[in-house]
Amino acid sequence: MGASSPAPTQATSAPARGTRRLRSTEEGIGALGTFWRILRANPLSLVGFLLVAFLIVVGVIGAVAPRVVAPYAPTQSTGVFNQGPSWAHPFGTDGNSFDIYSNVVLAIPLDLGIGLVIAGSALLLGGGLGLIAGYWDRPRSVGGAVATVILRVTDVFLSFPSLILALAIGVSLGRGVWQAILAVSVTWWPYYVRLVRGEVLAIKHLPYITAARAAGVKDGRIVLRHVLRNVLDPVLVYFTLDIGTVLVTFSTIGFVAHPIPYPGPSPEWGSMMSYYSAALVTVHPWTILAPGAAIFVTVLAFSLLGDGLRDVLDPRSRRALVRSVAPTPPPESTQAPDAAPLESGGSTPG
Amino acid sequence: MTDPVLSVQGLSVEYDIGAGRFQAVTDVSFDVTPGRVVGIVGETGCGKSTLAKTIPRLLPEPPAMLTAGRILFHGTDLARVPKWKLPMVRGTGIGMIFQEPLNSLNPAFRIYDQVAEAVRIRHLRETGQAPRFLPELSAFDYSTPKPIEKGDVTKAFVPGGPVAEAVKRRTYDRADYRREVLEYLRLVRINDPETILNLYPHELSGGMRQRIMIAIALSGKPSLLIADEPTSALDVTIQAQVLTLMKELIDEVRASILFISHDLGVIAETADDLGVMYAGRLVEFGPVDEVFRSPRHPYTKALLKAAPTRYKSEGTLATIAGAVPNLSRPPPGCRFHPRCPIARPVCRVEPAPPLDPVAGRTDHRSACHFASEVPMMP
Repeated sequence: MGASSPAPTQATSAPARGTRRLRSTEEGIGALGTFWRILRANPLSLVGFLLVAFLIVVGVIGAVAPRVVAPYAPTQSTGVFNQGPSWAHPFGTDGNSFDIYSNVVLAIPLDLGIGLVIAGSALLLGGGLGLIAGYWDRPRSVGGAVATVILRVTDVFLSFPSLILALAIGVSLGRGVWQAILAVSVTWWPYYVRLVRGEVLAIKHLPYITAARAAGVKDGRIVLRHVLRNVLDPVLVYFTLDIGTVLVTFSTIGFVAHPIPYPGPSPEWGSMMSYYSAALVTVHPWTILAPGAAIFVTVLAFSLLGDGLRDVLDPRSRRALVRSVAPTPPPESTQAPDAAPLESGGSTPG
Repeated sequence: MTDPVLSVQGLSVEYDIGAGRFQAVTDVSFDVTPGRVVGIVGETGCGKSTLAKTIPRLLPEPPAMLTAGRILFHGTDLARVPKWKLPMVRGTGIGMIFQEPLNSLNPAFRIYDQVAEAVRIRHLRETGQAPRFLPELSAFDYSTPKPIEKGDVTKAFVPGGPVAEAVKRRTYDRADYRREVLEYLRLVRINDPETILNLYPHELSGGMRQRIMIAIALSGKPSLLIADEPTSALDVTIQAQVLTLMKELIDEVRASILFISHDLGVIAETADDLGVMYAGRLVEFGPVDEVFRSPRHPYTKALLKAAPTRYKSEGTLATIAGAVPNLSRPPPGCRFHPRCPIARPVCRVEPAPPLDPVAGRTDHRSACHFASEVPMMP
């Protein structure tokens, strides 16, 4: 029965006609190859991708084996005080004779982790609520009532400036990494509710959702498969851009409220800047420039990556990009005409 | 006479539009008997699409409300089925083809995934792994096929064939799904299904997408296929191709079809029976030749006269004077009376009669007080 199970891709079947050739060329590239070609087509998003990849690699190494990437521990005396950048200390040293380069590098795992955790929890919580409030929002129904409650609670949170609210919550929770993460997370999810709900409302009346219902697909599966997959693209783009925003906000909180002690065992860029800005900025500018530049580069990296993702995730522009980079023969058969897509892709978030 | 596949009896659908009720469909009754193609025509806004979407209960409720009537599908009243059971009714039993082939396929998934989803739903129900509300129906039976030239289409489905075996096994593996999806794509005359499987909808033309939609609808093995203006969004050449395909499929799959269209030519080509809707009411119903040859409702007659029949222009095209009534405040009496050339005072006060057989026929029915006078109408 299943003895001659066909290969999952068509790359193995003998290409005969034009369409086959086109397909097999593309599938020969493979998913990774496609990804690489798309990135190569947008040099800026390639820069973003490489930067993010670099940060993640350094962050993982910094968390696992700190000595590989950082010559000194965060609060290890170097014996050199207030020295400018040099080969031994690329970002200089501070008044405690701590190596600033080591502190900046060792902050990468914490800061990246914070960005991912806060944006990720907001994505899951806000996105889930947004799906519910979008898909089941119908007047005079239980779903409509639930949606109303979700949206009014969201409005309450949105009515506060998120930074002030996060600061207030953070101060009341006390010091500590998790307290600070919780404080920002509490203010972060409402944006995702609005974003996801808006996208869901836009597509839930499209014919293909009705067609799925007509085919007997259950609501839960429609939401988790058909709706989610179509709202995911703009949301993922927003999420990527948002990691940068989270970092800026968290650094601001670190700067103002010092939730994470610095100097300390786990440095964080915002706290670093705050500490050094107190007295040393005019005399020893490198102390504050290094963590500031780290924040800048990280945020920029995620922004560039987010813009690149927007192109990658849209199947229409994906094919167009692949073709523009690696020109393949146009389809000769009448079976795969390039019909002009009428509808535009997912809207731009933010 | 066999039992009808679908029997719509006195169906009324209203939309709650805040400031009142919009009577989209009022007291519509007709039968779809096995193997017949029933066409419904009417102008824009006459309720034909509402009717099409009401039968499998696809309208959002609210705002739509089924205020009266029954939708008997193989004897089960779909109008009484609780909402949470509806997904078990849809898909298998009733298949639907929509007006907008461009948007009816999910842009995020490859063709294979979309057809396979429909196949999977049916497979789970056939093997009892998913609840099914309606009893198993024997439509779409390939085991006693009419002679078909493309013989390989049916091979997979015959008893003892690979699909039947897979159903018996209760588990489909990837190859089974793939094989069945390919069969359905071949069934709708897609020449290179292996290629099409891996494409996204936006890479296909409108005609191809509509074929995929038909394949998806058929893969539920429905005994009733509802086609809601399946060719309206296509250009004339593709329209002809899709119509040809549907006519061939009517013979092959032997599902009954409810064919909604505003195009009299399309209906004339495909349908066996014809229902004419005006302002939410079914005003005439009968065999398509009979209705075309001797319409017994003034609206049908006017509609036929207004259809362009020649390519050469013969002056101004005939129109029906007046406008479609606003269905939140339908006119009293017969809804067509403000535009009717043979209206009399009684039409203004008395509601139109129910759909009654016209003199001398049992299968041709008209909802006009003066049905017998229509042939003499100017």
